[in-house]
Amino acid sequence: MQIRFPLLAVPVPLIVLRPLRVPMMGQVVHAGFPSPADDFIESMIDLNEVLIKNPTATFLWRVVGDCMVDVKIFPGDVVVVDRSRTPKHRSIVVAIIDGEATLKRLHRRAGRLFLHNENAKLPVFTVSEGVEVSIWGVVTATIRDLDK
Amino acid sequence: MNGQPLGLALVDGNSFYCSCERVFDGKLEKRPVIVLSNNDGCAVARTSEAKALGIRMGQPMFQILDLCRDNKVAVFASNYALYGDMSRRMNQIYERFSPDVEIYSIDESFIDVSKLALKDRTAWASDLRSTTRQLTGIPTCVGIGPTKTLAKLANKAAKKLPAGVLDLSNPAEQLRVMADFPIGDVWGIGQASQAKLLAQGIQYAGQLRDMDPKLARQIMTVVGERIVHELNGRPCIALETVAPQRKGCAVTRSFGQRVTQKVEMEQAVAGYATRLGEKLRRHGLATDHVTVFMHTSQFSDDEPQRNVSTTVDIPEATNDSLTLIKAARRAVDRLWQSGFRYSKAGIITQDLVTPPIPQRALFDTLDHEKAARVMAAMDEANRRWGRATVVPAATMGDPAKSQTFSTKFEMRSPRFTTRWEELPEC
Repeated sequence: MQIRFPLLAVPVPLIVLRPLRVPMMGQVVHAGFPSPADDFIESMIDLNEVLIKNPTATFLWRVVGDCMVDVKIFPGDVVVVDRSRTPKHRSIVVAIIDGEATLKRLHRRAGRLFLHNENAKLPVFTVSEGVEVSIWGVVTATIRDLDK
Repeated sequence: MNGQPLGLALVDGNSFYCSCERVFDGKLEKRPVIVLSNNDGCAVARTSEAKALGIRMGQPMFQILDLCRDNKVAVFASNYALYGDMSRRMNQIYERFSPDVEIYSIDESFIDVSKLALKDRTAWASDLRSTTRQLTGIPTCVGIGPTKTLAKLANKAAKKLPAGVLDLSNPAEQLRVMADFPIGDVWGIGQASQAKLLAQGIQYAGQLRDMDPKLARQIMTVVGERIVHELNGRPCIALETVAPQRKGCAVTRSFGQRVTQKVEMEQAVAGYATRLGEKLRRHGLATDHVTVFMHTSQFSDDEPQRNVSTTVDIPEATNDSLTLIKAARRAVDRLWQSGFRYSKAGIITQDLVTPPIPQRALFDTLDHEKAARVMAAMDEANRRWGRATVVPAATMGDPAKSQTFSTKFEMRSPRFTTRWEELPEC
């Protein structure tokens, strides 16, 4: 039995609230005969399964800064941010520093937390005395269009 | 909810609309924030800092322009898409804590806690509260009581406590809190009832609780009698009997059988839209949008899960069931995806308005029954000859409206969670 795959996946607009379903084995158009692939119509790859583990606590942010370019997070990228994750040593996080949202690498040394840029061209990042810092959420993935 | 629950929690978002704005803008954390109704520019949500400045609920923006400028108050237009999505996330969290969640409005839900031991209820509520804060960023308060009225009362009192939680399961505690709880803050007591009660020397919930139910009925009809019973811990208020507040109302149901077909979902949601239209007409209110949500059961781990919501704008505020149905259908179109077994759906509106003048005059001068007949005749005509054959004069083009429409969106924050083009930036 030969199962034919569609040549091109149908482009689907990606809306975060709507699970994106990419057909794996789609219905192939036959004249007159039912497709043997019809039985597999339920087999779908859901990108949300990979990108979003906890939908309730997951938000998308658009990257505008260049502080993480050395780890290949570029302006224009979308980052997936999960608020249910506990930030750990070396987590990439959305940090709120003096009210500004920014991407940073979290480091834990001798029981203290530090935030770093991942961009050798930028000066070493330091937080001045008295400036309020909080962690908004942990970055779990990036999304980038490679064919813009 | 089955039978008469012995314990109910009411959880609500603190200054909910303002808190949603703060989640995505760290600079708002220390500033007073208010959110305006889109139709008439009145403050419908205020942070504690804004309240401290003397900004009143429902106060029109033009009265507080200088105050807001001088105190750097952050002023926003309502962002229904954002609030609706945050509300959906919160209710999803609540359902992890108890399967019995009844959405009362965009930011208030009743949760059945009857199965929880009395001693565990406060800890349970604290856990619910901190989980919601962690996952969504929204601060909440939780009130627990044997009836909806007492749960509401406990919630209101919890707002003043640092812990944000108050359990009034215990009758002695109920008495203590009700002793100085103003009757005007009791759920279902409007200004008219409040004036009548004050004339009887009744100032506090504790006094109202001890009132003869028959006397309460004389003064405030059957609604008042029910409130007295509820304050005594005897549940008898169905949600439907309480007027929807200005801030909105909801019609939601769990399905008896899982819904797997789009046509079933459309029928169900159209039914809720009809019910919503009836509710709004009965109370002379209107809305300019509907938020529709649907989800699968989180208690069926082996099944694919889906939990979605969307908000559809209606060009002019309305309580016409057909318009609401059309908007609700559009929402179902956007949300529907096969392959899931949906267990619950609902429709929510926020920021209700009194319909524009011609229509209000109609409802003011006629009694409810007559008004309903007019609406029914209109509905029938619209059904027979196509939508918008007969419309209330107020919903026809209004030249002044285009101006309000453009100002509407100037102060609205981005739809951070539902639009690719409007994601928060970092």
